Amino acid sequence: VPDPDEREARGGENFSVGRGHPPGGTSDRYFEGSARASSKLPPFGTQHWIEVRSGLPRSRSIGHLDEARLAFWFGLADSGSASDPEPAGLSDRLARSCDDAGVQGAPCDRGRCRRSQRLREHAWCARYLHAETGVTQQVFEEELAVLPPTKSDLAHFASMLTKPCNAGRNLVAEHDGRVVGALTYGRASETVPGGHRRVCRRGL
Amino acid sequence: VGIGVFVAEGFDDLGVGDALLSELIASTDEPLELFIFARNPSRAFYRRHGLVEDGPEAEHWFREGVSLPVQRLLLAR
Repeated sequence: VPDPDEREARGGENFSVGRGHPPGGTSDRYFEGSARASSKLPPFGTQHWIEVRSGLPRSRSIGHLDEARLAFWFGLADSGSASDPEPAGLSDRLARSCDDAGVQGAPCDRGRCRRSQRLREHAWCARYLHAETGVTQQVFEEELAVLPPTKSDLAHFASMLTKPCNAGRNLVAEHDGRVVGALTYGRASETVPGGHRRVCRRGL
Repeated sequence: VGIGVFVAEGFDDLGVGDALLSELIASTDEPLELFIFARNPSRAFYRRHGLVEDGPEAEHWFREGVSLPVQRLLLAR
């Protein structure tokens, strides 16, 4: 059974997405993705395409894609070749300080993206359901615990990680292969929910 | 640039968050910011790394009638 995330990475049953020029040439089956599907999405630095295999009219098909999914696909298309953050950015200082803490430092690449976002969920439980924060059980259960990592959050983070300006700056600490610490970093307009600007929409 | 640090339960007080945030601060000259619940004890962690309160507390509304105060922390460069 295909991993649903893997299937989505290829664009789902009715769509696929890629970078560069459409392999089938320009036709009604392709969206030229660089034009952006929404003004709320960041501009894409390279040409992307989406193939609509269902044969639906373009205008109708694009309406079926929500922004997060579209951003996710574009992000994966961007990262499909070689755009994971370069590990070369890790310093001896980080290696030493992580050694002292009994963990290993690493850049948060796509492989660690999901694990680092799940860590946030546990961090919420440990740190926010707390009289000192003012987070009550009701707020926690109804507003916070339901939050990360949503599909949209993961899509946003995956997309953000692929951007060169963020390469090597999103960091994780691992222990026995488990992500036990994460630092998220992103430009103000595209930060990851959980610590920053977008947080105001969903939580802090 | 917005940031956030998360550490798993059981790994508190080992210096994991310090290691990650110190590395970032040393590797960039950009201003760093985040929003945090005003009463979150983690404010002390960020203060230790030079992030300070920037502006008054604001109210984060989850929905009508449910809100918590939040604070912007900033490491200006």
